[in-house]
Amino acid sequence: MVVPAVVGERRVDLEGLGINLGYLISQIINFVLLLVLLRIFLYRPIVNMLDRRREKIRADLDEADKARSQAETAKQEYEKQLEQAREERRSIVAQANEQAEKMREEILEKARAEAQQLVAKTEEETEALRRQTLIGAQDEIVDLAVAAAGKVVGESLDEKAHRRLIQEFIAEVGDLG
Amino acid sequence: MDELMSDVMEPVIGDEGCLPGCMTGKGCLIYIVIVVIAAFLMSKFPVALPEIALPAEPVFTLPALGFTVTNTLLATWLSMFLLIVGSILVTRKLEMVPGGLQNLVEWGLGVLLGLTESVAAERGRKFFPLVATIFIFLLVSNWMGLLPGFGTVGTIHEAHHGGYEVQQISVLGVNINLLEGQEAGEHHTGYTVFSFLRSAATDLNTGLALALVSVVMTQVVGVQALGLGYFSKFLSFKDLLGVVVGPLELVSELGKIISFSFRLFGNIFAGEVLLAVLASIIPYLVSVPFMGLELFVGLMQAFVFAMLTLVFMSMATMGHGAEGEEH
Repeated sequence: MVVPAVVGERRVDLEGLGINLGYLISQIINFVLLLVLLRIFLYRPIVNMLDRRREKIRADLDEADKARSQAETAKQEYEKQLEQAREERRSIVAQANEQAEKMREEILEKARAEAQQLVAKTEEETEALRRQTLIGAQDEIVDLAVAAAGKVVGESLDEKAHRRLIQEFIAEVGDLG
Repeated sequence: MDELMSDVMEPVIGDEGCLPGCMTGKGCLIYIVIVVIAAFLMSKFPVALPEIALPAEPVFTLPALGFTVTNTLLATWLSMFLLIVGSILVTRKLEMVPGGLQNLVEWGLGVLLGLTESVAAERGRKFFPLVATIFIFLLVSNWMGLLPGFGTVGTIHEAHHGGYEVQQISVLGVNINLLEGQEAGEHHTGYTVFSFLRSAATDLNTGLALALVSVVMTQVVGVQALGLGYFSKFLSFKDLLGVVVGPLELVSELGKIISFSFRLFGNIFAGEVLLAVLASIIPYLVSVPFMGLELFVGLMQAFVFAMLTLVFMSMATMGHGAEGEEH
């Protein structure tokens, strides 16, 4: 153990503790040098890196959030459109159904009318034909009757008056029938 | 000794082999063997107690400047060199996705940065380099001081009093002097070792230098934050309290220098002395737990120095009470 020989004097005391101005200054210089060098080579790059990474993580998270909300919006939009399309389809189908129904009605109506018309026309034609046939037959009957009467009476009655007589007769019969 | 130990152990071991808190038969045997080997080594190779001196020992003199480099200065340079080379190697190629060493360094500095910011808020960034440098430098130099070779390998000198016998051996043509365990007798010259390296904090100059830097920087950041109003805490005539407290504040600033330097020096130096003395009394095994203790002390002292600096600096920027708020 080195114990300072003279304790009374201040300088000796400090020397005994090992305190020395030269070493003190050199240690201060050492420390400041270390501080400066570590600041350049250690703290600045590492802290920058920590900050940059923190920024990047924050930006990435923000971006992810934004992307998520965008996706959410897109999904809602898509669903809305889908719903709209569904609605549209429903209305189109309904309209088409309605139209088809109307068309069917129309066609049926038309067909019915046509059929009726056809039936009516046919009836008319038949009637006309019958009438014509009837008239033809009447004339023939008159002729036959005139001829027969002439044969019987022997030309006594002129033909004109005869025909009128028969005509009147038939009209009577016709009225009766 | 073997018999004695087994006699002692037998009732403890009992029939079941092992009771809670006791060793198994095998463990006991290993323990006994180790103790026997240690006792043998102790009697054959005793360890000399190095001369315990407060001032650092000189290692060599720079011829041009006439400046004597001491072993603590050399250790300081060594830890500075390791720190600077290490940080260049780590930060040379930093990657966005960190791995290995970069991860460790980023974690350590991140913790320190978080701590400074939690204490000093927005000023934390500014205080960080000083606080971190104090912590890292002291941690590295304190822990480095526990490495083998520190305080034991050096040049041989005549001891002031006492001292040990020297045995010279030759390894590969190089003469190496070993201190013998036996103390030199009255008529012989005793020798002691001036080691090449000695933990930086065991030199009061180191602690004092750091304390001065810390306290001076405290005043600087105080003035930066509060302007000249900072000095009103030392010299105030506003009221009686200010007149009385002012000088006390001044003394407390000086007290900080002394408490900073002597706390660090005392703890680390005492640790080294404890280890040296223990090693000279019982050279083997016993100093191992104390080694762990000194690792903890080294960490704590580095942390305390850095934290107190941080706290003092952030206190200096706050002014005091309502008066400080005005500025």
